[in-house]
Amino acid sequence: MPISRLKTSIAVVTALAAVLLIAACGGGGSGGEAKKGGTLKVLDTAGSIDSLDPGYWYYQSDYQEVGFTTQRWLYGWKPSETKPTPDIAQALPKQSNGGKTVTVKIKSGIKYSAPLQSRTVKAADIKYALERCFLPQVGNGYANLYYSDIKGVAAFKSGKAKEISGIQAPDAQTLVINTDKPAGVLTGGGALGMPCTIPVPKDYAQKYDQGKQSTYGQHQVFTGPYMIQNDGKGKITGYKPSQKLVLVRNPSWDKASDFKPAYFDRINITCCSDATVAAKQTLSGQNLLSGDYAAPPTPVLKQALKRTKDQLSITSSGGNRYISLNTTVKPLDNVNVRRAIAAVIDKTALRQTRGGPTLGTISTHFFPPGADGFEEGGGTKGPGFDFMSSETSNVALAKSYMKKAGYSSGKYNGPALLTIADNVSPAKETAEAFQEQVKAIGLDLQFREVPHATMLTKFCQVPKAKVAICPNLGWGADFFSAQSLIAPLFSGENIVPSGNVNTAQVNDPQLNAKINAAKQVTDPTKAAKAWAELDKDVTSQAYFIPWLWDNNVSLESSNAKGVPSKFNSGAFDYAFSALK
Amino acid sequence: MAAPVLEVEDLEVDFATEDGVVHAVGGISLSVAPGRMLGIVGESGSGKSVSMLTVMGLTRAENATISGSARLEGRDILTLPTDELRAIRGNDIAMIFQDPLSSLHPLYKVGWQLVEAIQTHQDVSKSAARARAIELLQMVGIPDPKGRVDNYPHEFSGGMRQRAMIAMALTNDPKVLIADEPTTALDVTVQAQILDLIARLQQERDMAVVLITHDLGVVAEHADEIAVMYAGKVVERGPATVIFDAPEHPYTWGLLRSIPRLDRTRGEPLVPIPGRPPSLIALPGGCSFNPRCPYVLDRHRRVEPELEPVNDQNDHSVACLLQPSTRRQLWAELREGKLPETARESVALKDTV
Amino acid sequence: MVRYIIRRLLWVVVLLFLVSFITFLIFYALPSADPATLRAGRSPNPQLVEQIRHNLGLDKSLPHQYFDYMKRLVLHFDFGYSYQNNISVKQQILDRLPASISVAIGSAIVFLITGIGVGIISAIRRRSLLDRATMGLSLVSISAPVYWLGLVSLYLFASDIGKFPVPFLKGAGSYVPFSQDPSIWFQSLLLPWFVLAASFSALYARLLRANLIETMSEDYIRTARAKGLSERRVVFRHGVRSAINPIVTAAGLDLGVLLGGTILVETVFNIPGIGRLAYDSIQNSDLPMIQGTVLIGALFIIVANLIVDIMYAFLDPRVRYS
Repeated sequence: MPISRLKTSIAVVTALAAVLLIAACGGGGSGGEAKKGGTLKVLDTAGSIDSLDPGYWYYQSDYQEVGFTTQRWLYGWKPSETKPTPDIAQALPKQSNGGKTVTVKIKSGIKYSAPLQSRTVKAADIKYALERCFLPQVGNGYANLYYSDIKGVAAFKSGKAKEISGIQAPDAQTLVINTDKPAGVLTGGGALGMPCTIPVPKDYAQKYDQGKQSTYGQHQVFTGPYMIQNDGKGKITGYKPSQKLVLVRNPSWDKASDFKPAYFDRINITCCSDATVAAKQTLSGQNLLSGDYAAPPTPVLKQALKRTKDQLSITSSGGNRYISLNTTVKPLDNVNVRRAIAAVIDKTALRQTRGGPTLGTISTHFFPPGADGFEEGGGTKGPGFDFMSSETSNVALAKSYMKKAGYSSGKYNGPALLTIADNVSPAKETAEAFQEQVKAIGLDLQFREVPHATMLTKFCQVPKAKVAICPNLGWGADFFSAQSLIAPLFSGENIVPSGNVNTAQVNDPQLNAKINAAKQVTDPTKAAKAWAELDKDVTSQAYFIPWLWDNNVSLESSNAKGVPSKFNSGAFDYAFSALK
Repeated sequence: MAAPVLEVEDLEVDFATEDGVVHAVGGISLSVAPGRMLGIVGESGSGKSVSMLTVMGLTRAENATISGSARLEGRDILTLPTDELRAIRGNDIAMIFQDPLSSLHPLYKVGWQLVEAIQTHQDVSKSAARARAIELLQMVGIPDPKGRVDNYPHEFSGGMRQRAMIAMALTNDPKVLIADEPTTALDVTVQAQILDLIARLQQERDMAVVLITHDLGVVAEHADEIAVMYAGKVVERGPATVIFDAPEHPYTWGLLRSIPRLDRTRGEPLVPIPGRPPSLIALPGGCSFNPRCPYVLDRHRRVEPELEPVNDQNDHSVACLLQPSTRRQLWAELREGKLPETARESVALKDTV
Repeated sequence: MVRYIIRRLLWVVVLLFLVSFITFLIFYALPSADPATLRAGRSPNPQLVEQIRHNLGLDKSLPHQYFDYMKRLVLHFDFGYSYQNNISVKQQILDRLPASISVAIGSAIVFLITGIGVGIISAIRRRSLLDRATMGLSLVSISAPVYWLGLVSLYLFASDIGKFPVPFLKGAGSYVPFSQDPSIWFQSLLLPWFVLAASFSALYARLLRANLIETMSEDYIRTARAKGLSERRVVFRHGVRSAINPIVTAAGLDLGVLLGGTILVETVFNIPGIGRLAYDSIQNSDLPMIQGTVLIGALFIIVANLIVDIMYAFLDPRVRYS
């Protein structure tokens, strides 16, 4: 999952926060007695969800506010677990045919909300849900990453086929997926624990999937414990974009087959509060939990740490922050220059710009804690590269790398390097600190600050823009998958003209081959090893300089118990949270 | 002659300003009787307007020091409490001003402003007040008063505006009308009409009028008495005929010589008074007029002249240090059209002390 | 007058056209985010981006895009659909208009009453302690940032998070439409009204004070006093009547600006109005929404200008239009 939502950048940038060491409130069962019932109030600060369409959901607030609460997925995620839990599925997927066939049995008796209240979920509904994720009308952002190995996807995308031949529903309870080559993300079930597996009844939905953009979201039917308030005839009434979202109990919900407790009777989400005000209101009010993934502003956080520490939930977000160095721009094509930059930056000082140790642990390698392969890649200690081992600036080491790169004085003396930074606090301050630090090795930056979305879509993610350094990037894993951390960012096959997340523009045939091989490893232990090896490779090459493993800071009212979801970067899972 | 309706005695007005104390009016005494017109003549800054504004109570301010008295029918209005003063203003004593355009409220209809003046002092209905307003406009000679009553000041001509101002001042049949340069802002042709109107109304209503002007010509025709003011003081006072025929003060001579007159030979130069009025903060020693006086002697710079009667009737006074005989000689020379310098020489004016 | 109004109305159309054109140009001239990539998710395939680009009509030439937009706008009064959530721009603006109108008109009432009141008192009690105190205070409130003032007022008085909670001063996010509950509507808007009005009140008080002091030295004020009017009547019917004209004009224009949305107040107090919508749409590079909010804001300002000009003819009989 992207470490910050691309779309709403206001609070998001301020969002990611603090430390796994303080993972005080992890897990479901800890803390006070959970009470059934009551109304939960949530104050969003960053714009709430962007779309009602399950096929679109991909961001923290999507999962938090509608994904976990209103729909059941083929596989779900218990808050404190890093492995998928069968939800609509009866059990974890079975693989055969050398990992190229995945079979999932689904539960019977799961019903839709009105107007389809008499209809149960069938395997074909999930097949259609997966297919529509490739429709441009839906605008899904990850199907291509995880499902493109499925047979027939290419033909479907090009419009030559009406269905994806590799997805079959031989009967109502069986879903069979055939791939061209083994795909670890499917056999492990991880990629089947994504909102593309939320069942969508084709005969009902197809009429809404026509035209320029799908309107199924506004007419969708729900399978989860809650539903967005609607008129019972297939029209949603409880949603006003960037204003309010009202969730009520779904009478069709099959509680017996679901693992979610769903304590609240009703969830009222209002957007868009000022972050400072919302934090105050949550801390001093009743029935409130943090909303869309915005960390409280530093002054509020400091005060809360002093006075109301038990109302803070600080957990590792499973994401990292890094400085991206474009390997196609001189002198960054030289690995020793990149290493020199890694050695010269003062990560502690960079973290200070975000608010200090509460907001995260200093990275020693690329994989963030919680991701598959993190331990194998060296854990917190890291693989031990000298340029990554100091938490502060090591100018002598940096200069020695510069000498190795051919700069005899230890200082760069070429033209200024185009650097595009975020223009909002605290990212802006981070970038400015970076700019100061690299002066020690003579690096002169052509420094520009632009809005977050512009930074990404017009500069850092556009190869043509030839940006040398992007100091304000971040990334997190989808479903803890190591593949999701490596493949999109470092595979040369993924360099695209726009929306390019391989911002270093790494295109090393050897690395590409290694990535493709790792993707096909279906044994979880072997896969972790393979990906950890890649983690070491990319860290060693210093394409990106990771500097912070982020923490998420959430707030709760004194009478509310929020349960952070590891899957969702530490944001509260409202289906597990409750009043005390 | 009837007893004076307005008697001003020893009126002094000082204003404290950042630059110092301005001695705007330096102790003047004047009076005017019903049916009579007093002309006060002087350059701007001579204190003629300030003295009359003070009589109206319009200079009352924190920085003003006022002494002396101004009795209206025997009652000193300078010391009246504000609400009693208000009851008299616009009622027993009224005033009109120099620029009728800026003196009328630009955003209210003329009729409205008249009605307001009526209703302030009379307990009459709005419609009655309006009827009276039309009557008043008619009286001051505004054509089509019924239509004009709903006009705004900017829709009136200059003369009509001043007529309207007069109508407003006369609303409540005042005993005294103070007219402060009422014609200065008007065309020459209109000036005479307005003065005639004031004179007519004065006669009809047996009203006392104080006409303030810088131009002796304006008062020539109608004023019964004239007071000439210079630097906050009355320097000469007397019946109008005497002032024109036998003026005694060099300043008055200067004023008279600066009036264009039909009986004067063509080509004879108009002789303005050279120099400028003195600063009222630091008055020159002795006679205030000495820096500009062509007949000045050393002594005049040290001794301050008093206003003293020059004849037995006691109706003509002057404040001048020249010998009466010398003054008459000089005036005789000037009447013949001689220039002041020539006059001075022929009289062989010399310091005798 | 009628011809004048018609001519001005035609200008309104021309101006709005220009505004839309300039907005369009700015959007493409300045580095704003690419809407298609924004919608496509974290690691999109190029086909998807292109298809989204096509669906949004962004693959056409700029003049073509602008022409399409204007055609729909002129022929169907259709502002298009948000790139962000695919909901009609017109619908979203209409939906949020009542909130912005509530904030704007309420605060205008507050700032007119307080500004005029304070201005008159300061002018007639010039150089008094009261005058010095209020003028000093007004300098503070002119320079106090609205955002800061909003936060402070919430921290001090809001019924939910205030240090000295006042029950009828509802906190941020409590706004409901008037039609739903007038009482809560009123209570939720009290703080925003005063916070937004603070700097305007101060500005208007200072403006009126200066005007009134000047007016009180006019000849016609002397005339009014000479008429024997009470000082009260002199000040209010004669002095204030003249001094207030520029205030009415300024208030009309300010109201026009406020109606177009008040970003900071709407943000601090979480009121779903046009200002916040505009801000979000800029953040999201949501061109149709940017266009919609800019046009509605421009419309308010231009129409407010027109109304003020017409009103001026009634306020000041010397003004004539032809």
